[in-house]
Amino acid sequence: MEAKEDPGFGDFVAEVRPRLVRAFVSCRGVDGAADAAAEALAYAYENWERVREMENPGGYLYRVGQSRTRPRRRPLALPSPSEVELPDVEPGLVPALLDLPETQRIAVWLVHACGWRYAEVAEALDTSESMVGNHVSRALDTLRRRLEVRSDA
Amino acid sequence: MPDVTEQLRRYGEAVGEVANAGSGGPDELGKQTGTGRWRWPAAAAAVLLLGIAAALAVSWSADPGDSGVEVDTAGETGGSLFGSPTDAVLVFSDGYDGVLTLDVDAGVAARRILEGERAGDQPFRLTVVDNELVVGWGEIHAVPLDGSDPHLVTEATIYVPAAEPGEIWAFDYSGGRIGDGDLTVRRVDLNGNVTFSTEDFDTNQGWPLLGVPGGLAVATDSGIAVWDAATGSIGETFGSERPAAAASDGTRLAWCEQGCSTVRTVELGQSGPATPQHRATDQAPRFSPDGQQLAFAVEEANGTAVKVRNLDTGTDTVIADALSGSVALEWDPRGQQLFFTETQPDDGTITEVGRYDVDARTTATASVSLQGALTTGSFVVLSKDDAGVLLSDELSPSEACSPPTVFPSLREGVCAFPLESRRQATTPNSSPSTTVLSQEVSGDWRTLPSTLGSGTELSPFAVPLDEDRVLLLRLENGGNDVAGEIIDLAAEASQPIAPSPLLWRAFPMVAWTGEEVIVAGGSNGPGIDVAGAAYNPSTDSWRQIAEPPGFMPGRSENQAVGPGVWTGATVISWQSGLAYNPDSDSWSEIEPFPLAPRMDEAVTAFFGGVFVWGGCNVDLVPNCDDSREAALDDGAIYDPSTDEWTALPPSPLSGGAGTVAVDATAEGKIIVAVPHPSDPNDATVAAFDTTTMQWELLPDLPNEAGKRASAMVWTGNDVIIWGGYGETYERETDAGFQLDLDSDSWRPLSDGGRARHGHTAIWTPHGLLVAGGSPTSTPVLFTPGDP
Repeated sequence: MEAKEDPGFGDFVAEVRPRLVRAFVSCRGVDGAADAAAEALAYAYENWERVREMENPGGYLYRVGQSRTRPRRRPLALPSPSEVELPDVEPGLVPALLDLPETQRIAVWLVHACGWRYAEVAEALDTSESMVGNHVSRALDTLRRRLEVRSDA
Repeated sequence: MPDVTEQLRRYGEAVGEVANAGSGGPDELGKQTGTGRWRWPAAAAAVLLLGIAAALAVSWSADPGDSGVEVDTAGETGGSLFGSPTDAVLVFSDGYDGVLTLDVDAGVAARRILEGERAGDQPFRLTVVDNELVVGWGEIHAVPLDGSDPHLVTEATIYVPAAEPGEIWAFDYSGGRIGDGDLTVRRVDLNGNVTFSTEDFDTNQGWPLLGVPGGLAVATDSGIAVWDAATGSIGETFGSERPAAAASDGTRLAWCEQGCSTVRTVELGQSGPATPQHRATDQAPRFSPDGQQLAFAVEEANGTAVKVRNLDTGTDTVIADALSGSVALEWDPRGQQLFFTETQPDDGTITEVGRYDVDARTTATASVSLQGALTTGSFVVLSKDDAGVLLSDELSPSEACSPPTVFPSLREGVCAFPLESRRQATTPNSSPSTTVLSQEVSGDWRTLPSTLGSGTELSPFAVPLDEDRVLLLRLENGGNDVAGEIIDLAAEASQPIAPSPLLWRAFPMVAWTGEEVIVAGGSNGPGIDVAGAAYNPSTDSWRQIAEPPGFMPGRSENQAVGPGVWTGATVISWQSGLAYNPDSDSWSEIEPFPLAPRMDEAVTAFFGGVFVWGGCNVDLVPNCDDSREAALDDGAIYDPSTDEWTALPPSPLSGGAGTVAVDATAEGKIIVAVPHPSDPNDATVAAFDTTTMQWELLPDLPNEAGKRASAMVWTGNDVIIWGGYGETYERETDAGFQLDLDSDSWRPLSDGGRARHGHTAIWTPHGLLVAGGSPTSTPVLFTPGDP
């Protein structure tokens, strides 16, 4: 069944779009995240029969959106915690995130900032769940060291 | 403060809301910008190649070639500073009681008292007038270089060099100090005869900088002007700020603004002899004796650079850079050499002496430690014969001499000291910096008809088929299948080609063999079912081609990736290490690339080989982005007949992303440009001769040229670079420039193209075709008018 004939596609978009937008922030920034999600969902629209059968469509569409949108030509910029009114978040979190290697940044972002499962992240990064675990672990170590906080703090 | 994971969650939630608030409605589902470029396959292939290269490291090593750099790290005492004779002697005022003379050929420094030389802050300390040295303030003295007795020229507070032969300007304040009392200005010859006198010169209207024919160049609050002695009036003011110093060759006046980042010249109303060599307290440009070149020192981010401007073409050549302290420069009397010094301002120590050889176009430098009361290190240059009296053969025994740092000097004889020096390097002439002529390349821009639409299409493929027709392929095509059209430039008509059997793809191998366009591999994220196909325009048909090694339908990895380079028999993908032979419809592996894996590299074919240079190291920065630490400035060429890579000799260019190259083998060269250099002080354009394996610097790219995702073409005579991102990536540019290799200068193309990045440009018999890119992909044609 094509997307235009399937009422379930609308529900799928309603569920997936916010997750994708949030996920793309880590590699396309706030400004480019919506575009990347739109590209991914356009692909889903065209290939709905295939996408609807996927176990982790979010991770797959993350790859689609990433490949269909222009890579960043400017350093990635994210708003500071104060700009999004988060007094309980260290101001140093954003620069520490931006300094992470890209794969680590995306992995830790998808897992902890977006709440994705390791399987989804593995699909998105085209890697194994264990490698996702490695990336996330290293990223958290670095962030904690940079922010000088402890997990039990 | 919560744990990092909780902070991430809160931050992700908040930022996600912001990003979602900015996303559009359901209509965006149909949006097909298709701006993607799947880089992972390229990076993966490159990483694989790095592993292979590491395994081969024992048997393969880069041949450094002849870089033209010769380094002698051993310190020497005495002997030539530069390794070849100069017949030149540098004479410095010691700012106290005499001069320090440096014989650079003998490696000897000598000190000698000059009658009339005295400490003070006079603007001019040493001037060569008719083979005599003019020194002093209060009493102006002349010291004949033929050994005759020194003599008083005139009593005056200060003097200023004059353009009139054998004369100086004497400024005499009745109070004996500058600004103290009434001023009388006289022009006198070295015998003290007054040839001109006035009491009406007003230094408040213009401070004297130096003599020019018929008057004086003066500094005003807003620029530079000429005081005409005959009328007593000051003429038009030039420039935009008060200059510190100036130079004149008798027909022109040159001066610096903003630390010499801007050097201005203006024609003088009256012409005459050049103002003689002089040593002032301020740095100033220096005309060569023949008036053809202007040397100047400019402050840059990494220190001071010395440049020479060809006044005919406006081309600047950097002959030395990264100098610290105060830099002084002067031509030798024949104009064959330019000498420069680096002096530390805190203690007056001269730490480096350099020579630029005009004919050889080489710069040699020597580290020294010449101490003395040398206020800025400025100097005059004499021939060895003329300077004989300063060096003399009356050398005193060394035990009778005090070191050069002790004052006063011996009144009789000359104390000479072998100079301990360290010859550092002889470097090839470094980059001519940017020269952009104001005369634009005029022509007409017109939009071409297209059946493919105007949506974003990064790096489409375009090739001229004959005099009038161009084949254009959209490979990403907004997420639709690969499609193409043939545009007739003469008829201004477009026809679609036969539908392709290929899904859209980014970064495939694409090459024109002369009969077919081969499209293979690439990536589209969701996966590719058909590996590749070839389009034949003569039959308007596609044929599916053999799958490359490792091809797995539905996946992007393990496939051939672009760029593809046609070498006459095969299409080469250096990134994948693969070659496709269209005659046998077969693939083969080639010798892996021996250097670091990279992207955004410059690639082109030449004489049947493949040239790869620059880009950025994907091992260090996977997506390249704006990273400068990952910029590469090496490369190699591949010979398909031997299946071997040969490393290029070290290049004079900066590394940097977005490098582009064109095959200009009609000129025997490949021209490489680095629009986004990792070091802004390094050269950005050079030609590489694949026959001699040598680099030749060309004028740097104009500042206004696109910094990334621009396109460069070879017209058969010139290079054109057009479009791309501007400096900040905020917007695309429609600026284009043509490099004329005859005059070594850039000329802007006339306006009218549509700004974009990521486009493709080719040269056709009708002119420059620009197609694809973003935010528009509409093809446009620039047809040059009369030169």
